[in-house]
Amino acid sequence: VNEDANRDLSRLYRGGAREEPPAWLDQEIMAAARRDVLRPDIRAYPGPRARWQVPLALAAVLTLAVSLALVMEGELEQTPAASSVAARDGTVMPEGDTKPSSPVSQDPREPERSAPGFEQPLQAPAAAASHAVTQSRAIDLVAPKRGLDAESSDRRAGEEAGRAGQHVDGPDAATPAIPPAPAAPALSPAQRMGPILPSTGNYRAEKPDAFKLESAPGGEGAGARNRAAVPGETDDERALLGRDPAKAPAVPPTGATHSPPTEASGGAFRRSERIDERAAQRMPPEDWLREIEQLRRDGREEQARIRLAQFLERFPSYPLPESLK
Amino acid sequence: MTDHGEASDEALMIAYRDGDGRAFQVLYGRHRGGLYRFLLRQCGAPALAEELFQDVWLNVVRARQRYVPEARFATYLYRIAHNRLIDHFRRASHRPSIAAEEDEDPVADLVADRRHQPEVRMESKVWVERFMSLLAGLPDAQREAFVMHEEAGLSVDEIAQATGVNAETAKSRLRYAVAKLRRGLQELE
Repeated sequence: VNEDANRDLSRLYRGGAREEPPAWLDQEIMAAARRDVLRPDIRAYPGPRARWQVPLALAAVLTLAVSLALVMEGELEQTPAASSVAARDGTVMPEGDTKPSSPVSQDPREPERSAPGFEQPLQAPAAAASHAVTQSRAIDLVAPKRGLDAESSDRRAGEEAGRAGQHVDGPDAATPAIPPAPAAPALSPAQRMGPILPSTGNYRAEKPDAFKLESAPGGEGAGARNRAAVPGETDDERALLGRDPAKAPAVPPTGATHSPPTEASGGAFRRSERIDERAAQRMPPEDWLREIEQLRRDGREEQARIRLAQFLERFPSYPLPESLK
Repeated sequence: MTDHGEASDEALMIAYRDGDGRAFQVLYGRHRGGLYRFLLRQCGAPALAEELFQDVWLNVVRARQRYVPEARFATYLYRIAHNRLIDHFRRASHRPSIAAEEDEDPVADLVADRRHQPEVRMESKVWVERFMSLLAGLPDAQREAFVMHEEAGLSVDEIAQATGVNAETAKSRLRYAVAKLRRGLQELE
């Protein structure tokens, strides 16, 4: 009975269900099926290019990895050697130079740095601030590259010399292999570096060549040339290096003596002051004391007291000279 | 050109998998009507049925290289269609009614009085229309089972396989569908 009933229902169903898909749909589906058959199957039959893709990619990755490892190994070998030389001799190598420095400067720009009038514009506050920023950048850039051990050995050498009562006379004593800065004796560290950042031999020696020319941002000689546009240099680069007169901080006329920061230059001055604080923390104690004494001689007692307080915080056990006690 | 007229659906699909476009043409010709009507019964709108129909066949085309004859091709085809319908209903927030089983025994209806059985009037167009109306009124799952059985000749096990349920559920759905259709025809008499 069930089969008969089902057969009857099937007949009724077939009597009513006669719809067919439209012809255009048939054509589309058949066309898609043909396209899929005609399309080359890369997975089943990889062509020569596809066959070599993976091995070539692997070879390229391996080559890159090996060459990178070799380069890094070479750099690691160079870094301890330079650090050990610096620690032993108290010499800091210029960046990228592993040869020992000769007593005579090989830098053709060296005469520019020692040219008459080169140091004088540094006394302008804004120029000093700009210079301090530049030098602080130089310190920040150089210090990590030469390694922490070289830096700490430099500091240790300076401190030990101070404790032993040795008179470390500026850059020449601390860095015998570096030629002396010719203009240094003419001006005190405070005068050279402006009101905040004193110059130290170590840091002057650490400055890469690119920064040596930047040491006189307010000068008419090399500094003026530095502020001039360099061919191929963009405005942003000039602004970063302080060469763009429109973007650089205002520089007083040449010959102006250093004076407290004005309202206009206050912002830049305070910024440079913060940066100088960082740099000053790394000064050897004897340079620090010389700077304080110089400040006192210049009649800037308030600043001298601040610097002395900072000094005592930094070197609490360092013996103070009688004049400062 | 190979004559595919006597080949099974599975052999045709394997031939198409291996690059024989003619095999697909024969296979498509065998199942195009049944699949289209199945989709039309389930979704009710010719335009939507055409869209779903195209999607199902394009799925077959795209998956040809992965085809392994684990079951009858019809089961494979209607499983794709069932899944496509489920996707459509889910997107349209329409939940197909799951077999609204009833309390009465459908077998009792099947052994009804022979005088009321529809074969005596099956020639009548009115009866066909009434039958189609009753079919459209079935719950989706029961109608699906009935149409799969009628259009593709799927057995209870194959219906279960195509719809992703166990054989008992598929059997129950099919029996309920038949019972309701018969009872509906008797009531219309």
